[in-house]
Amino acid sequence: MNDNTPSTSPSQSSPCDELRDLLPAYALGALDAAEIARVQQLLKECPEAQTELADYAGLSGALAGRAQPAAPPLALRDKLMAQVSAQEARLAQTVAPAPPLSAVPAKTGSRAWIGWAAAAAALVLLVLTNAYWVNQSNTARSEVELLRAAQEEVFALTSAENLRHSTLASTESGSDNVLANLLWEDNAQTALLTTANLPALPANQTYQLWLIGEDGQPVSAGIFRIDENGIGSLIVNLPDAPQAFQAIAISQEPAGGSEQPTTSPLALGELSAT
Amino acid sequence: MFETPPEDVRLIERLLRRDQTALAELYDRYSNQVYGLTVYILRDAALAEEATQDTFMKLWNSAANWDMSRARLGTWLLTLARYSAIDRLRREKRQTPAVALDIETMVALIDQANIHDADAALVQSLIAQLPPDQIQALEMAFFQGMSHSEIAAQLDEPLGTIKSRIRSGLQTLRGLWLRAVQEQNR
Repeated sequence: MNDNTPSTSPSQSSPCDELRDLLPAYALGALDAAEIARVQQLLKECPEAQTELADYAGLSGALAGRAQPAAPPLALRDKLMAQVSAQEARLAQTVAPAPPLSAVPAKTGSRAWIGWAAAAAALVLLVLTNAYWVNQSNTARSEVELLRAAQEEVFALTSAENLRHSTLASTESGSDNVLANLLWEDNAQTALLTTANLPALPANQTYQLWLIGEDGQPVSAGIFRIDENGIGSLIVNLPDAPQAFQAIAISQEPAGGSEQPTTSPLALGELSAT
Repeated sequence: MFETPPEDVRLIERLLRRDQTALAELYDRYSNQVYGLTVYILRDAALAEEATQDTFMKLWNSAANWDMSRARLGTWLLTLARYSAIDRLRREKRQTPAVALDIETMVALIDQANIHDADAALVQSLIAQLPPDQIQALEMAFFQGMSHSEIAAQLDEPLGTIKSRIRSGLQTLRGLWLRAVQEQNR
């Protein structure tokens, strides 16, 4: 036990013994990233080690008790409350205007993923075009109205003034009249994507939702399939508040999804101004 | 496992509705523990105030991340405080800021534990029975967010020695704790 052999050496020990050696430091947070990955892998192979881990975690956590509670200076409470008020006032001001979007002309028919700034710029126009199209198309109107009504119902069900949503609009790469909506509650970590009218895909393809950060960088929000009626949905686990992102987009990707988009977006929606 | 005080749940519900008075009440409930911990880590009143303020701003801005099925609010908040203070400490020392194990995994680990608040005094007395060099290594990892190799470098000891100090420290503590609990139940 007091030897100097690195505890990660698997030479003479079974995987579960190796795990047992690493567990105390894991619970304490003293392992590096590679060792953490190793422990998390070994925990799957040695589920009986969970009890031991729970003990170490609780005992490590108890170390916090070595710090005695102490009253902070009285002024700190006022400072905190002032910071919160200032932040909320700032947020209330920034909700109204849409963020400035740099206008870069999108290339027609390009299969490459168009620049994200350009995509965002095109968005404003597309929202208008889509609204126009919806108003003009008699054939699709009843269907659209039905879906709208269904969405209204969802809005009502999920109650609350806290409910936010963003509507995605078809791009020139997408088929006409794609309907897609992202719904979430303020401060929620999950959002619900619902789609209609997306075209059917071959089995080796999938749809993928992207969150586009303020830096224009897309982050995958998950892949989804549609049913025979073109209806799809996806529960999105948000890495951050939706408002932290500029936009959302749907693209067609190889089955299993891509790390970064490989095709032009089919539909786009704005997030930061919602 | 653990129980979440209903009062905490109500306060967080109000916080999620952006009720600033709920934050003030949570501050009144937890600021002594948070400040005490950050002072212990940072050994500097001004930095500890900043880390305490950071902690409650994080609570305000990310209360939705608290999963009451997995962690008591107090555990979550003190872990936020510990990570905030360590972050400041490491920036002061120009080390890489992050503790390698992410905060959510850490919180969940601590709250799955079989150690209850009622055992806190017992555990403290058991920790005090460990050899000082083991306590030192455990403290450096826990309060300063240092890895095995960082501790070894700082103490100028072989890596294997530090690894075995941390391992033996917690293994011994667990042994003492299991025996004490057994005796209590007898």
